[in-house]
Amino acid sequence: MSKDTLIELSNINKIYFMGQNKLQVLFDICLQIYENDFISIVGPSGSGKTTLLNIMACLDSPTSGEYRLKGIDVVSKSVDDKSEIRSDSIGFIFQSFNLISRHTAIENVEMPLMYSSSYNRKDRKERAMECLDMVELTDRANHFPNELSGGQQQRVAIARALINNPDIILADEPTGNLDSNTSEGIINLLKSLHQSGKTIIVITHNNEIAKETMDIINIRDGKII
Amino acid sequence: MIGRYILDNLIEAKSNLLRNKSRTLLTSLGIVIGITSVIILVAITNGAKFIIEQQLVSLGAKTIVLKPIGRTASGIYRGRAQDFNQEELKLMKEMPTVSYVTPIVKTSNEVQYRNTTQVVAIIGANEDFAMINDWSTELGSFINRIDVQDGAKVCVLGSTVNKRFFGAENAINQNVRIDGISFKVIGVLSEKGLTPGGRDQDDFILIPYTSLARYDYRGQLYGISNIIVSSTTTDDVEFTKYSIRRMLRERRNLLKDQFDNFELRSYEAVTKKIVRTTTILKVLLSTIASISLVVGGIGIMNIMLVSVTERTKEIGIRITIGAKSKDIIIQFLSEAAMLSIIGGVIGVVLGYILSKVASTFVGWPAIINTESIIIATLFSGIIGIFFGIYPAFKASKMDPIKAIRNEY
Repeated sequence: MSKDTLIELSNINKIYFMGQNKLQVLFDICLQIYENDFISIVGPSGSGKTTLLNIMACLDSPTSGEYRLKGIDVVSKSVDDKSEIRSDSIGFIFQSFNLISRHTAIENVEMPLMYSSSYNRKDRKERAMECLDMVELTDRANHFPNELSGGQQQRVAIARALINNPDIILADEPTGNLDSNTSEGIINLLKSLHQSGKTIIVITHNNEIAKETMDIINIRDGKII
Repeated sequence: MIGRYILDNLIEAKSNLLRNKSRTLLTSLGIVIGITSVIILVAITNGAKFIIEQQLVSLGAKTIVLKPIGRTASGIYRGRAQDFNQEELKLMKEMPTVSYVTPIVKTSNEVQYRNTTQVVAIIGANEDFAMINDWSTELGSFINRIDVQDGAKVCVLGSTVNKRFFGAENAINQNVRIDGISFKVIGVLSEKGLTPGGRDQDDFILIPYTSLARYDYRGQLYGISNIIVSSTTTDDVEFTKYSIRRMLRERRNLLKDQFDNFELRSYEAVTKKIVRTTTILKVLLSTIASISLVVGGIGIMNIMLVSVTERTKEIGIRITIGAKSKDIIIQFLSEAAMLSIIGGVIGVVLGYILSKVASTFVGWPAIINTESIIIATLFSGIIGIFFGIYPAFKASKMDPIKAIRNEY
């Protein structure tokens, strides 16, 4: 089976400098992720999983090493170029949902379109409705986040991650704040997204998710083991 | 495309501001006060300027007085001055910046009505005289163009003359003899009273200057000794003087080194000084008002900084989902601009109402022109953008990871 390489990390190091102190959180990470992979990253707290995911999401830059996304070197890109890459190719799901509380569900979902496309307001609403439909929340479109349950909020966040039709979905402990019943719904959603062709990388402590993925990457003290 | 982008941001800004109405209003308050005071001050000074100018015009600010004068190069009067003639009068009247022209020929003659005989000042002029000197008639009418053309034997009495000859009697259609010639009274002027110097302004008889010239005691045709020209506006006085001078010098074939054999006088120097005074006043008051606008702007900046801090997490989320620095900058600038434009609009309305109220206290009209409304609104928008720049840039430079964790 020949699949295209989507993410290619070579010798990624990340060192945080705090005054005189140096704290290295990633050591020589090499990783290749292919199209339509479904990967979970597991490891104890402080092992560097989130930092690794942030680097993959172009939110953070490695101290050294090379990162190619779809063959393009992104380390040297400007902040705004990275925003554009995120908006084109990456959907991000957080542990704490990170919806904007002053906006309704549908407004939250359509927000990435404001930064990326030439959709007008009406088309944006339509597209946002489609994404809410995928997560089965069309009836909650005009509710504010605090009027939704945790699971519903996370589904809104997933709809938001899907709206630009990204190749890659990065999820940082998406079920971390949810009970096991609700988690199952989210896991099923991720599975169906994988089946529809998305590449999914998920950080998790949840064995249920890890079990479902094609590959498990174990990180400990900044190293893949 | 760009229009839609801006519109989207404005709609977004509007809904953000509506979600916190009381803060929005309080933040705009500084701008409201600033714009209100600018509008009131400009309206009141404009009103004052208008009144001052009006008074100046009635004092003769638009008029130019022409006199013949003969002078040698050493500055000593040369015996004979050259009077003006009909052709010169006509050319002046045709100038685009001239609205009225009248010759003024003054004499004194014996005037007789029934048993009363007195020497009275006679002014020969044309139909423009009333317009230039702001005369109105109390009874009857003024001399008209036909009277002047025909040299009609008609006269208009100053109110003092009227009292002296007619008392309570109606003078209209009576005949008085001026220097033995019978003139029909067609009007009596309204009273103007004394000049500040104590001269009675109403003690004269006005007749068409053509009648006077024809019936001069020397039996010869007068030249026109004085002319009064009224310029269309006070601003045109200088140009009118220049045009008349050029025309007269040309017609009289004066050489470059020859002095004028006529004199042009106007009150323009005074007018200019007073207009400049009101302008200085306006600038001064606007400066004071601008200070309150700047203070208002700083208020907006403070609230925007608070807003940026409060919304750190939101900014982080927006950057994570693809917002570029320019998107964040424009989002916050739109809000700041809208805040101050709201303040500006309220300020214009409030300023409009309050300046009407203020005008009843100060006793002169408040003049608000569309120009000052547009400038005030634009200015408030500019203040919002200017003072929104720093908070907006601060927001756009945030690191999304720290911002989402609210670590600022």
